[in-house]
Amino acid sequence: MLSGIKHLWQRNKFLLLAFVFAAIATVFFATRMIVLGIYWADPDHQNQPLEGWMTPRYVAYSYGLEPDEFELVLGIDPTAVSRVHLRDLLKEQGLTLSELQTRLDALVAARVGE
Amino acid sequence: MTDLLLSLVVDYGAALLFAVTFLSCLAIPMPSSLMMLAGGGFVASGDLALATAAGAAFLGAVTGDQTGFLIGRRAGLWLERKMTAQPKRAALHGKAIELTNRYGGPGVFLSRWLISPLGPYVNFAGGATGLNWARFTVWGAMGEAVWVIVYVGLGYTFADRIVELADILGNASGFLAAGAVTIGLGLWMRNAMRQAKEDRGEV
Repeated sequence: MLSGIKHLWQRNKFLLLAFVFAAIATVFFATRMIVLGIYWADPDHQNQPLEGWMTPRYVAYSYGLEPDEFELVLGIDPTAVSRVHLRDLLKEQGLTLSELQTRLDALVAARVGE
Repeated sequence: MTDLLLSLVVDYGAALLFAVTFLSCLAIPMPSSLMMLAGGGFVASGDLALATAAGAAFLGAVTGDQTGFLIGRRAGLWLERKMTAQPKRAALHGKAIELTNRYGGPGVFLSRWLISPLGPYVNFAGGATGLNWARFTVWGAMGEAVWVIVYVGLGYTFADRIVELADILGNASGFLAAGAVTIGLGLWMRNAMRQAKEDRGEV
């Protein structure tokens, strides 16, 4: 085996190097996949914070809010607007993402308390 | 960056999904997995329609595959003229075509979705080694359908966590593609070592 590898190194360095590189890449991707998968499965990390790219419908959907509940928070009916970014809506209303996040969290917490 | 990409999916919807899957089939690095997951997520929220989002991604991928195959075929014809000029090389070329047609179909299918990072190169190689066009098209379209259904479906199911999911799936497909290449190179190495042993008269 060892003499075979030595022979290969003398005759075909490229093949051996490519194999080693591909094996390292395989381990690298496997490790990252497992680490990210563990993070994903942790219930503490399952609430996705609000981001500017989200749409009102998307926020309502991912937080499990009814349209009227969402309207309480942002003052608009999510079913009335399609494909609008949260960041544009917030700019119109003079709100920041973190302010909206606080309101949403309060709403969700209140529902859990019910 | 992720913010910009996801905003683009909201703004351009199906047209963007078509463009991204088309280009990704030509070995142009595209965040197609994230985009398709986002497409599925926005279908779940009601921002996009399922038929147009999935249809556009599928059509983009199939058109991209065909384009890659044609490019490969053009390059292959040029190569063929060079190869067939010498009998020894002509035999080798014939062998490559025979192998491609024997194993090419399932290879095309799996490289659409399971080991998708290898997909574009299979398009070029399939075209260049004379893989039967109808076989390429049928296996390819089936594979792309699986790819679109899996990614848009996962985006739909896990709509509220598409960014993290894209990261996990990106690494998973990297793992599978790198693993497939490692196994392929390993087999090649084993053959080379065996051949060397035979040459030395040890077997």
